Amino acid sequence: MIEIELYGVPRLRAKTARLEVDATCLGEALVALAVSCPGLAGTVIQGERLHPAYKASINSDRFVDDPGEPLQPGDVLLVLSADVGG
Amino acid sequence: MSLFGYHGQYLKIDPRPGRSGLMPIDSTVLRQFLGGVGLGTWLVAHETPAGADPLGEDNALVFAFSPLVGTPLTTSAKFAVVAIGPLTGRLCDALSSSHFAIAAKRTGVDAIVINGKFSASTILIVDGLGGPPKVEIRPAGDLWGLPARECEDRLRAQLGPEYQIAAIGPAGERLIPFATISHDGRHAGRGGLGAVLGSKNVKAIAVRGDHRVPVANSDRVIQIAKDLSARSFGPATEKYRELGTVANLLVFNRFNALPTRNFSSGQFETVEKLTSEDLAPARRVARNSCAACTIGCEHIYASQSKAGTRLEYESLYALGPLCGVDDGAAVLEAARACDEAGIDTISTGATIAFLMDCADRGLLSDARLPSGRLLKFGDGAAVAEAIKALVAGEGLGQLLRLGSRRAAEQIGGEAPGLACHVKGLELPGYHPKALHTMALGLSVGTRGADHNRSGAYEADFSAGVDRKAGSAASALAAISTEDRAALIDALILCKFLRGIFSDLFAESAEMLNAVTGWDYSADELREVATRIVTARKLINQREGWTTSEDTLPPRLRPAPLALMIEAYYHQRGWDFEGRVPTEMNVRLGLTDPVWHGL
Repeated sequence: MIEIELYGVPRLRAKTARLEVDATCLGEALVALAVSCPGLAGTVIQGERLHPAYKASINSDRFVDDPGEPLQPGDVLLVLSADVGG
Repeated sequence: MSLFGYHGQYLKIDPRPGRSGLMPIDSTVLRQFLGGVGLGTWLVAHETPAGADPLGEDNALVFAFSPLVGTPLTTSAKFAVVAIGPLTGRLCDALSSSHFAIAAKRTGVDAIVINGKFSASTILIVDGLGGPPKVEIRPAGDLWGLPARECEDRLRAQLGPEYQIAAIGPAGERLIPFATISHDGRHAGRGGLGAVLGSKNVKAIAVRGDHRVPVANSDRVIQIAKDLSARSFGPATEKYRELGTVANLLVFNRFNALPTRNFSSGQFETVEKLTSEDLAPARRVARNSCAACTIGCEHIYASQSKAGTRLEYESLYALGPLCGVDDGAAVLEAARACDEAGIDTISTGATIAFLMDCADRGLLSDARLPSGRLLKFGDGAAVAEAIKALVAGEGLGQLLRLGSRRAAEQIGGEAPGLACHVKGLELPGYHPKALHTMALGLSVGTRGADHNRSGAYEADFSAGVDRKAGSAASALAAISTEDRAALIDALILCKFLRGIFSDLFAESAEMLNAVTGWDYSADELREVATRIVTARKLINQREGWTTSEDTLPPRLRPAPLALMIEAYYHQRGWDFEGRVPTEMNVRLGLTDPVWHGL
């Protein structure tokens, strides 16, 4: 299991701040997230990728965009708006 | 030759004999500097002598407009204010928005330059209705002393609804070096340009006119405007529309990048109390937008102000976590008080947080506010009282109103090491230790520590970049965001649009060509952006800049900062001390002696 934390618009659309999914890579995690939170499907999440207006970070250490990016059990995937500034 | 998009002239207002009037602007200058901060920088170079006292009569204050103002292009109703800033002694530019920009350009000029010092408190009225702009000078009377918004309301009631007004609050009148210039509740906020207007004894400038500027290809402008508007409703701007910039708070906290208690930490343990998600249902009363804007990013919260209080991430960070305050009502009240006084919320919060830190460490002989309350982290009521004392200049307020750098110099001892500023301008809400590319952007910014002239944090939040391991490669990312910002601020468009462009320079060239009829290419606009960044640097050089200013306070410096700065100078084409070489000045057309203080 990995944990997903949602921030900003993804949180607003998903109506939840965090959830857990079974996934071994970024693409699987996003597909599972779209199933659990249909409000994200087709908008924030497009297939196995995020719409370019959103970003993903693993454990807040590094940003990733390759759907094949591996995830380890216990990883925390952060999904947020790409425009992070003020 | 006919000009499109421009009037080709600016208006000088100066009480000294023979110094006022309409001045032509050569089309070459307009093509090379565009408008906004670009044109404003050119005008400061030519209207302010080197070494002028920022609060003296020779420091020209420039209101600069742009070729896009008045077109249907979304977010284009913006204006720049430019002068030598009193907080830094370096070039300062600040932007604001809405109807003032449109009305001011309709007076028939591309910029208004105010210089000299009026003998008594004054209102300037520029009437461009039915002919060349006429300037009327009126006594400010009982408008002096009022908050900017109230001054605007009363003056408009006197003059008529077609007038648009920019005004200062009490802080500008009292020359507080981080005072703002306000219009319709929005502020040209950073660097103290309100004090520059106050130093000229000018409370407000009111403008109206009917000089519409023709564009070269109106069908194409409308087509581009429709496309831009449609894209501005998309996901790239949704965060601003739905939540506002306060949504940054939780994200920055999660990335250990939320400056807390005078930058002693990047995380605030009770941040959840201040999140937009919690603030919105309880307090948000309205959303709003600037004139000619389709994004609508403004989120208005209920406060003691009848009109409510706008809250942005930077105000929330500076008056909340930076001061250790987790009470949303207290932060809103502090933001309202800053708006009413007309002071920059970032510099205000950062200076209060700095003095709280000094108090915590026993560096102040007396850390009590006028009421006897201690100035300490976490006390929202102390923040409110500190703002009052700052504006009134009472007790600790005498220190607070200096800004953090000068207050630290006055306190002495360890205090300068605790003051979080670059070139005297307090840091925005991006912890440099957690965002190394941004650390570079903050260090080298000509305006001082600044998140609007450098968006280097965008690189830190990108795939393939280790935000905690800055390197020489960070320099290119910082330069790229700085150049993009220079172009956007000269066009002028809102930076919240930046995410919708696939190629900002190419798309901007299309926009400008439709408006001006010129034949800009993306490459020419890249050169324009480089010219504007370089021109600002040259003004700072002539005002006494040295390489020692391009840094962060020691406790906020990431280990690779010196390496990154060296790489930045190299990639900019500057020498190892960060000075602009002669051949670059020649290439960019910046050889006139005014750029070099000669």
